[in-house]
Order: sequence, then structure tokens, then C-alpha cells
Amino acid sequence: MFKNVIINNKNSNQKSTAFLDFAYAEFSSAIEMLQASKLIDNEKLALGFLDHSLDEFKHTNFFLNCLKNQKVINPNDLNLKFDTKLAYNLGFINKNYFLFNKYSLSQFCVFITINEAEALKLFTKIKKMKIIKNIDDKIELEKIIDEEKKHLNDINKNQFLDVQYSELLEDEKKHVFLSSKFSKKHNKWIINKFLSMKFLILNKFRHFMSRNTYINYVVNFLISFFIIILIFPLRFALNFREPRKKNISFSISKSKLML
Amino acid sequence: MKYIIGISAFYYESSVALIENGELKEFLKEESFTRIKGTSTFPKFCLEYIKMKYSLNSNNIDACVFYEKPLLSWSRLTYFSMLKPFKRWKINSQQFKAIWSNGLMFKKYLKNVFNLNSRKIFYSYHHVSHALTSVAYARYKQNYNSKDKLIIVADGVGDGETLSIFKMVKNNLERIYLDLYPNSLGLFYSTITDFLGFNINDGEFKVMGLSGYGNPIYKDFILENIISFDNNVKLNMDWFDFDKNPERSYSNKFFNYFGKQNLNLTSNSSNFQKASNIASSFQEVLEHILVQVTEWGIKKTGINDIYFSGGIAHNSRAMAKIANLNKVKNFTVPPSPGDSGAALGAANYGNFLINKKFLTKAPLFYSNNFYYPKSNISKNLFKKISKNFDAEKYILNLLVKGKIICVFNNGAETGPRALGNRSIICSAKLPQIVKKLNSKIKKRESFRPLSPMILEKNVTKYFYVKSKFNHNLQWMGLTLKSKKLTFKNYKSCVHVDGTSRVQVINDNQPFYNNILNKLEKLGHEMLINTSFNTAGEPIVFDYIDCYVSMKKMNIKYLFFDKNLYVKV
Repeated sequence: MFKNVIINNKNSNQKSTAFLDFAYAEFSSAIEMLQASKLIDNEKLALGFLDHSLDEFKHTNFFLNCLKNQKVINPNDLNLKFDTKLAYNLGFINKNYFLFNKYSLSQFCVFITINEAEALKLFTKIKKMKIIKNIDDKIELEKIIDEEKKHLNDINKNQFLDVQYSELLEDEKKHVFLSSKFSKKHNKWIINKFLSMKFLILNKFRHFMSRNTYINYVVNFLISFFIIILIFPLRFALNFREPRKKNISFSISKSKLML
Repeated sequence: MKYIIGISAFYYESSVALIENGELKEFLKEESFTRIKGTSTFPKFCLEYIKMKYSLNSNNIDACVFYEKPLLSWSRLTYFSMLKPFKRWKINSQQFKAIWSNGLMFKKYLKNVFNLNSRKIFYSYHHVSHALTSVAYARYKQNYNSKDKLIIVADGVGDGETLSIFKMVKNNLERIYLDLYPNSLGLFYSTITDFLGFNINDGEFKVMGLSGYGNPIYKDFILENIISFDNNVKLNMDWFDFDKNPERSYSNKFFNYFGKQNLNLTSNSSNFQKASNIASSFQEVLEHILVQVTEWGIKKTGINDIYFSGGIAHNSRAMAKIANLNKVKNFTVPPSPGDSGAALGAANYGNFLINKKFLTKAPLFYSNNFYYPKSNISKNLFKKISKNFDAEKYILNLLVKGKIICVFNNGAETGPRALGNRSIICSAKLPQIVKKLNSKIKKRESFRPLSPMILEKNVTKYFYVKSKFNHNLQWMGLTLKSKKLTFKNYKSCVHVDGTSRVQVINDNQPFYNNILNKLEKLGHEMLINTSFNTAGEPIVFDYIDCYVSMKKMNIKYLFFDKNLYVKV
């Protein structure tokens, strides 16, 4: 569920997008684990999945807090609202099924391992960059009167976030260890390797396509351009503006029509 | 048994309603299963659940009704976009992609769950579905008159329609007014929601709450330049971008005039007052136009028994304004007037097609059984601390002491508002506890008020109520003006504009009726009732959701299945 991001301490828009992406990734992971905890009939595993899910919800909030502290306030440039429904549109969660419905338990565990490892790698990289400490790049834009207060707050927040971040890394390590142990126990080595590669590649592709706005923009524009050219001469066939006064017919035959 | 299914999907809050022999049996939202608020995908999980629970198959289903005409909906929006194809290319692109993933593919999606014969699949009109949702709650009012109804439906857009007025005489439904996309009151309001940094379809409640803090200083300007009503609603599209850009509703002109807004607005934000003034102005304009529309309908038909449905009917402040008009003699707004409730309207449509009668008294709570996850892990999550007979005593004691209790009773609410069975409650007499519940536990914006729950016999003591609309108070359909005594004793549940979204409790809810009667003797006449969820997540559906929510909110007590539990 994670992808590699270019992240830069000086570019707050890029940082904010990354935080938003992490929040979506953690949220979708939480949802998948929650579903698993409801769908599995093994009590012990259900509890394990539920614990994992709670951790991921906690991590979602952590990244949303980081995002809030960025204070990017130009909605003209960037849409940074966290809307859980977008987890579908951005490819974090499949519209048609939950992973636990689709994969066998052992496949599901390999999937978790891959994703948690990716997350761990990414978070460790971010920690080294100390990106979390520089919470509020936009603070200079606020009123001068508030500056002292806000700086004080930010120092406190930084310390708090740092502690939370360490806990988060520990959680991720634990998730990797547990899911990896389970999948090694239940799958042959070669199958494990194959599934790992498969999920890794699919993840990268999925996120490349769903979050790469530039490529999406170009593809959409080209497709639309050609369809518009084709349909434009026929557009009047789509005009179904109805008369203002109308009795609603409850006839069986008319009710079968999509129009 | 013969069943009729109504389905709403692909826009916001997909849902399914099931009617069995003329009675509503189930009303389920897909978000309850997916745990993603506002899930708009095809409601596969809901359908699979009712399929299993009622052993549904192609023989015992009489009709399956989709809540709109998908081809009409698609054609009207595409036609509009194609009038300026390159300027609106992003919308066109969205429309082309939608061919494979929206209502046009309804039969294909349905086939994955039921192999229904095509002759059993029907399509209602979007606004007719909304209208029939309101009809399903007609019998809750006193002196029910089945003859003449004036039904107003207003929402964002559905079937390309944005505002309809229907005259219903007996079972004959006649449309007397229609506004088409892009002239939409719903999209007008969602634009300001988007502009103020809230999510569309979810943040409109926040705008309404925020409006109480402001002064409508932009009202005249908006009515002169942005929107007007002269026998039709008309938007000046220079101020909007929703017809061109799926990601942003307001235009550069709008942005330049009203200025930059915070993404995370709080009452401490530097531009809070400005944002409140903008919200107040848009709210006032919305109310102004809705009053004009209602008066137009009454004048045209002479009918003053008003039913209001569609997404805009969620705006309880605007509904109160209409309900209080002198010309209105009766007023009903259904518990779930939005798109999710339209599944019930679609099922009602099917009920009329098959049984030749409308459902007019749908229950406020559906389903007789709890939904249980596969493994039984409840004992690891909760510990019982009371037995059946003494749970009530525990609860009274805890409430008086200022404790917060989660309630998960049998039978979920049919609307978006928690009416007690999926609720978090505390005493309204303790302002510090109410404040803690709102901002620290539920993490709601401080400008959104919490709602009180009060016995029917006490409501006139604290609020100004009229009999023409009091039946709506069972499901918090509209706001009431508070009396001085409320400010004195229960200020915590009064919004800054002096209103409260009250829920009235009567014999239909014996648990709360009993609790409130006993609490009254202890000096607590009102409870605070808020939905059992954290901000941004759906209301709980099973005990695992209860646990997750309680863990997130750090609440200890749960009343579940007649017993009191503590979270482990």
C-alpha cells in the first residue's frame, strides 16, 4: 500500500502530499485488517488483526496531525483534504473486494509483509531526513503576534511527535515480523518469493498510476479529446430536457427503461 | 414471502432497502460494512447480507428498483458538458469513464449477486425516489390526510434534475416544477462547503453549524450576483467551477472575492469570523430561496401539507424556517432525506408497481438481529458488569456522576442521525462533560453543537414547538428555538444561535423513556445524544466496531443487548 515518494524538507507541498499519502496508506491498511478480523473464524488471529488495525488507525491520525501542522492553505494549488472515500479512487482500497475476501490467509499474510516492510523502509528513511521535526513551514505566513506562541507550541508538538514516531516504527517492525513468520510457516519458500515479487510489482504499478497526476492528466486529456471529437457532432441526440409539467407514470413498461 | 429491493448507488452513501409483504424490513448502508464513510460503490456487501439473512433468490424477489434512470442521468450531464466540450473536458472525461462504472452497468453489478430476470429490474426517477422516501413517513404526523401532498425535492443533482415540486393527490404524482443542472441549490451550498475547506457531502453540517456564529453580511451581494429565484433557480456560473472541474467547485472569481480560507478551520483560526460570516450569508440565501420555492408551490396548488426531501433536507435549520411559515399547515421531512434514503424511496416505488400501494409508515429502526462477526471475540473485548435487572440502575448512577456511555441497542436507525440505538450519551446538565464529549472525545469542531434528548411531555417547557411539525422531532428533523429556561439549565445543548436539534422521546423508545423519567426525578431532564462513531467514520455496525470506536475515543462503558459492559 506504500509507494516511494520524493520528499524534501524545503518543499512543504511535497511534504504535505506525502503525509496525505501515508495517511491514506495507513487508513486503508487499518480497514483491510479490520475486515480480516471480522471475517476470520480463528479467535486468536481475529484479535491479532484487530490489534493491527487499531495500530494503523493510530498511525493514520499521526500523519493527519503532521499534515495539519503543515498549514498549507492555498486550496488553489493543492487539495489536501483527507476524505476516506478517496482511498478507493487513489487505488489504496479495491472497489470490488477486500483483500481478505480475495486471497487465502497465507497469501494475505505475504501481502501484509510486503506492505509493512515497504512502510518500515519509508518511515525509517523519513526519520533519517528528520522531516517530522520541521512541522510548520507556513507559520511565517501567520500574524507576527502569534509567532512566539506558535513556535513554543511547535517545539512541544515536535517532542510529542518524535515519541509517537518511534512507537510507530516499533509497531511496523512487529507487524512485519508476525506476518512474515506466519507466511513462512504456511508457504513454501519459492511460493513465498513469487508472491512477494508479485505484490511488490503490483503495488508499485497501482500507485504509480493512481497518484501520478501528471500522467493521469495527459492520458485523460488525450482520451477525452478523441471522444469529444467523435461525439461532438452527435451531441444533440443526448438532449433529454423534459417538459415542465408531467404526470409521473407508474407503469411497469416505462419503469423498465433507463431513460 | 415476497420481497422488493430498492438500491441507491454510485453517488454518495450507497444503500439498500428491503420490503417484505409491504413492510420495511431492512435499510442498510454499504459504509456500515466497508467502514469507509460515504461509500458510493455498488452495495454488494449489503445485498449479500440480506441475501443470506432472508434466503433471497430470483423466485422470491418481485422487484429490484434502482433509484434513478442512469441513462437519463448520464445523457443530461454529458449533453450539458458537450455544449462547451473543451472548456469542460475534465467533466467530459469523467462522464466517459463513468459509462463503465456507474448506474449504466447496474444490471451487470446486480448479476454478480442475484441472477434476476430482467423483467424484475426497474428504474425510478431520482427525484421521485426522494419524494417517495418522504411519503414513507407520512403517517407519523397527527391527523394524517392521505389526499393532498406538496412534495419538494431539492438536492445537488440526480437524473440531471436539481429541484422538483410534486403535487400528490391520492396516488397520483404530478410534477409541477423542475430545475435542471447546473442551476442547483445543492451544488450552491456544496460550493461553499468546499471553499471553507470541508469535504463535500459530509461538511455541509459543519457549514450549517458555523453559520450560527456569523452575520449574513454577504447575503444581498450573493442574491444580486450569484444566485436568484424568479420562478426558477438561476446560478451565475462565473462564480462556480463544478461544471468544469471535478476537483473544485468554486471559480477563481469566487476565490478572489471571498479570499483564502483555512483547510483546518477551528474557532481559534484567524479568519474564523470571516468564514462564519460567509457561511451565515450562504445559509441565509439558501433559506430565503427555499421559502420562496415553498410559497410558490403553495400558491400554485393551494396545498399546504408540505413534505421535503433530497440532500438539502438534511439542513435542519432551513427545514425549521420552512416548517414555521404561517402558510405551511403540516410539515414532514423524512429521517433519511438524502441519497441513501432514496433506496427506501426506490423500494416504495417498487411496492407501488407490484402491490399498488405506498408504504406510509416505515419504522425508525430496522432489523431485529445484531450482525455478528465470524469469530466470537467479544469476551476478549468487553467484560459484563451488570445483569439484566440492574443495568438500568448502573446507567442512571453513571449518568448522574457525569460518565459517558456508549449504547448499542438492537435495531439500527434508518437515517444518518443516531436516535439512541447507536449513540453516545451523557447528562446535558453537566456542561464540562458535554464539552469534553464534543471536542476531546468525538473530536468534532467546537462550532458544531450536540443534540439533546428529552421526554415528549417536557419539550414545551424548554423549546418552542408547534404541533404541525412535532412528529419530525422523533428523528431530529429540524431545529427548535430554545426558551430562557434552557439557557439557564441546559446551556450545553443550545447552539450559539439559540436553537437545538432536539430528539423527542415517547413510548416508542421504552429504554430511553424509562431512563429519562427516572433521571427527571434526579434533576436531569435531558440527555446529550450523539452518534456512536468518531469524526469521519461511519456509525458502528457490530461489536467490533463498538470496540474500535471506544478504543479510539477512550470511552469505558457500553450498554449492549440489555447489559452494561466495560471495555477490556
